[in-house]
Amino acid sequence: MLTFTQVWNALGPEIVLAIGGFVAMVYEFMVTGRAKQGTPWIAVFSVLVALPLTWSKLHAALATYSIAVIAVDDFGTIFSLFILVSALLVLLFAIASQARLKLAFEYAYLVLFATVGAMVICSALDLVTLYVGLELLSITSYVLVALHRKNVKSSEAGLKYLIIGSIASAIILYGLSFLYGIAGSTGLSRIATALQTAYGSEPGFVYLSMALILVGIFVKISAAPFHLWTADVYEGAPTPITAYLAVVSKGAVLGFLFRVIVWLFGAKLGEWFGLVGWIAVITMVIGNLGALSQRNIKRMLAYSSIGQAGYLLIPFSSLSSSTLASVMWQNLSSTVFYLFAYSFMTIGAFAVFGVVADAGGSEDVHAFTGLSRRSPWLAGMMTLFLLSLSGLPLTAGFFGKFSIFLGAIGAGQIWLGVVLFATSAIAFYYYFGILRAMYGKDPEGDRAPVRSSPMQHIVVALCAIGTLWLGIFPGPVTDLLSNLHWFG
Amino acid sequence: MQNVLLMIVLIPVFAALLTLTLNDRAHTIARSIGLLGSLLSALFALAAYIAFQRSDAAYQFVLTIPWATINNAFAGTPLTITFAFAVDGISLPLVMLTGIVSVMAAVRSFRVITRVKAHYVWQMFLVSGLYGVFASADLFTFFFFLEMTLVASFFLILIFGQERRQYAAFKFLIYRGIASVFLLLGFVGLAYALASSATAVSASQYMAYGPNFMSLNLLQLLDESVKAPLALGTQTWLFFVFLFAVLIEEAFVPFHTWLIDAHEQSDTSTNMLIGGVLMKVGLYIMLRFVVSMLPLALAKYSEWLAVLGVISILYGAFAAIAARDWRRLIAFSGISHMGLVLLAIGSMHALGLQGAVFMLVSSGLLTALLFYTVGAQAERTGTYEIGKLGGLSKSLPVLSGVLLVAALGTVGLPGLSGFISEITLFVSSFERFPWVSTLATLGMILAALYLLYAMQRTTFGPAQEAAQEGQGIVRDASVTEAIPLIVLVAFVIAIGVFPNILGVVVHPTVQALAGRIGG
Repeated sequence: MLTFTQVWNALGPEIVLAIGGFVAMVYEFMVTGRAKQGTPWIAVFSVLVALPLTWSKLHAALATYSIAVIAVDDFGTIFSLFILVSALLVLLFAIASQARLKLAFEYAYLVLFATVGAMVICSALDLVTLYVGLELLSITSYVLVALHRKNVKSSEAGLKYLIIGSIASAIILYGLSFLYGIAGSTGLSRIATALQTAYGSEPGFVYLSMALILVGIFVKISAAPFHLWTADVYEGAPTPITAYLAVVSKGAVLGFLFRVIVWLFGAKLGEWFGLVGWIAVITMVIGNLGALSQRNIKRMLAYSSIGQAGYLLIPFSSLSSSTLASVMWQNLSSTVFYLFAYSFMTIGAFAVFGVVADAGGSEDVHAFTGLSRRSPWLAGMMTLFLLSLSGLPLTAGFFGKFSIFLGAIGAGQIWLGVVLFATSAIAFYYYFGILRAMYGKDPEGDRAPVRSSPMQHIVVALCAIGTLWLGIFPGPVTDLLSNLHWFG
Repeated sequence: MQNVLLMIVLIPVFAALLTLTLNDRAHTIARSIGLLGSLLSALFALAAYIAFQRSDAAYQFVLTIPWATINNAFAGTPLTITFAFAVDGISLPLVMLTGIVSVMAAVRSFRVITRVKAHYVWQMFLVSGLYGVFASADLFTFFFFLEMTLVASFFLILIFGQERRQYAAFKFLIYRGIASVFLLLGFVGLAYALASSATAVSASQYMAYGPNFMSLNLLQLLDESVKAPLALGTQTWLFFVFLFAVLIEEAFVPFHTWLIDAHEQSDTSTNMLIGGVLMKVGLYIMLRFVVSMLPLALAKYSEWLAVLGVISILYGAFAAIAARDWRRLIAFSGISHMGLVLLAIGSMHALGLQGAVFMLVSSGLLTALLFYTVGAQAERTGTYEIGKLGGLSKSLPVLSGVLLVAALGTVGLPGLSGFISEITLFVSSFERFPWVSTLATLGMILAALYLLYAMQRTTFGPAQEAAQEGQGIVRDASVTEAIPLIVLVAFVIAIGVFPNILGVVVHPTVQALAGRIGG
């Protein structure tokens, strides 16, 4: 029988977020008018409570709760921290965009529920729990994308995301069902044991299930060639939600990938690394080439995020090509480091984009024309985020890419590292295209300074601090990561 | 004195940050800060030159600032990345070159009248990056400052260039971006290769990390490469990765088009910094990393280097003959002269290496001088086109005189810096590749042809339309404008007449280096 203490130890932050979500929901129903603006702050508050709770679980002794089918290990905790930090930034971003976007306040608790789902994925040890977490994240995301009900693009994006996402979920579920069939249990550790014999007796089903799970996950993190929905959905969704999809959804599903594939198929992963490596390569190439031709910044950032998914697949591929524990720890560290870097620079870029698009009434790259004159501060911040996305030194992006690169080389996968940097060089072109618009041209027509609210400044500044902090003083974070006991 | 290099690198950054806080219209303050920043850095460079132990071939003023650690990077051991600075007889002359050219460029930038603040900010970042590249003693530090020059030059070309500046800036960015990628690959490959062959590490490192140890620190890598040289196969791979990066960085044929566009579109002070200093980085990479750490591969492919060098010498020279525009002419002439350096490195001889360093410095000064002079002329006549100029010696005697000195120096007139560079460089290359070197001298003859012809067209003969328009109105170089000219000319003559002011610094280091490659 589980005691309350045990439940609290295992799921404390998730419980806080869920309660916060319900409180926000009820509050939003009950109040009217301006008071509704308090709703997102309830969400922010619950994330702020959940953050230290999650932090306190770091380095905790491994604990598995067989009934709750949840593990407390550093892998889950560090991914949860990433998810919470990103969710916090997205919530603040959404609050800052409220004035113009007129978002329905539902987003506040929807984001909280999605965040609970994302966190559950990363610490679940049972197929059913995993899948429930995945669906919680997915279904709320579908609604979030279509939040602008009256906007055709938004509802179309929501529908598209709903269809594609559901199919992907179904494919994953189908893959998971074979595992249940083989093991007669939904617990990951039981399945892992059963699989050891199943590789001999039922190899077809094992590989089929792994292939199905991989395909579903590739759709969700928009890896090529399963990426086609990305640009449309990202473009249609309200900008803060786009940032949420790009960062939190992608990161959480990556956590799912590591948890399931490493735990269950770790023994045979070596046979698959080549395939995953190729997927990473195709994703990097298609993402970065696709971004070249985009004029709409949101679509460009969408393609760029496809490219980033490719970078994030490199450690996964490297992980599986070596049996050395040190290679595994390094690749896990570099994934998490890059995720944090990615979160700050991507949300930051979307936040500046949101302000500029609002001011210019356009999502086109032209909206940035002459920004350095109209708002030197915003232009400077955007420059920082773009340089980080390009991977230039002293930004989080460089250190993240560099450690991914070293991880790939450590695993003997030099070619992946080469493609990583080659595609980054392509990316220079479109990132610097925005810089050209900001600095190289005079403002057309409207020369008035870009107006931005204090809240918007706070979001942008937080992201900038994160980007610079990870870029200039990466030491504390890398120390933290290297001292983790990932899977207990 | 230990912090002198850090000061040199940081002062321009502080100047840039200070300039950023200024009002957009505070032009005079921006100019003063830019000039003071450059001057102060240059003075520190001078201090380093004075304090430098001349008889010592080793790195001096070593300063290491730990930056970050990547755990489990190599065989389970961490990789410590540092900001490390040090100079030796090869890098110190280039630090000095950066000092001289950057001050002159700061003076020249007084002429910029639009977006003055932005100009100085980016220029200061470029200068800091250039200093950093030459003063770094860590592969990461080097890469960081190289990327800084990339971004700063991009903005300088993009904002302050001519009509096709956007095209030129992006071409610059992409070419040099790709070169950076290869360079980074080469760096990491080098670090890995030398780490795995490491035979002995210091006691404290052994205690901390065990026998396998990886480092990006240049001093350590040099140590390792001497103690346990890499196998020829590994060296060859790395050699080609580096060579490819260098060919792009240095704008050697067929990767030269970006440089021509960049020079043609940039403003004068940017041209001085790019042509005078940034274009020396590629060959510095060659000397620093390839010659010292990949000697076997260098020996095996040194003929290739010589041939590549000669191709660039001749191509550059012929293209310069065909050039109608002064900036194109100087750019091609620069490519031609950098080919000479490649030839000298291929000779694998101490004298050749010394000539290479001399040539880098001399060509840096002369290129800056040429760009300054033709920029000043174009400001008065409104054109860079050689065909439209003529008879300038009457209206602009000082500028025309300086142009003559610069042209003669580039051609290699005895008593000027170009001569001593060429003579040392050719002496060793003739010993090793008589035929190839004969071809290379053809490039020098062609240089005399195109430079003197262009010079003569510009300064003598009847005044052409463009110059006539300004007759009587145009003024010759003002005092502020003439100071950089005099300083640059003074250095060109000083090196030409007393080559030892450079030689004493360069000599021990190239001797040691040549000892390593058997020259």
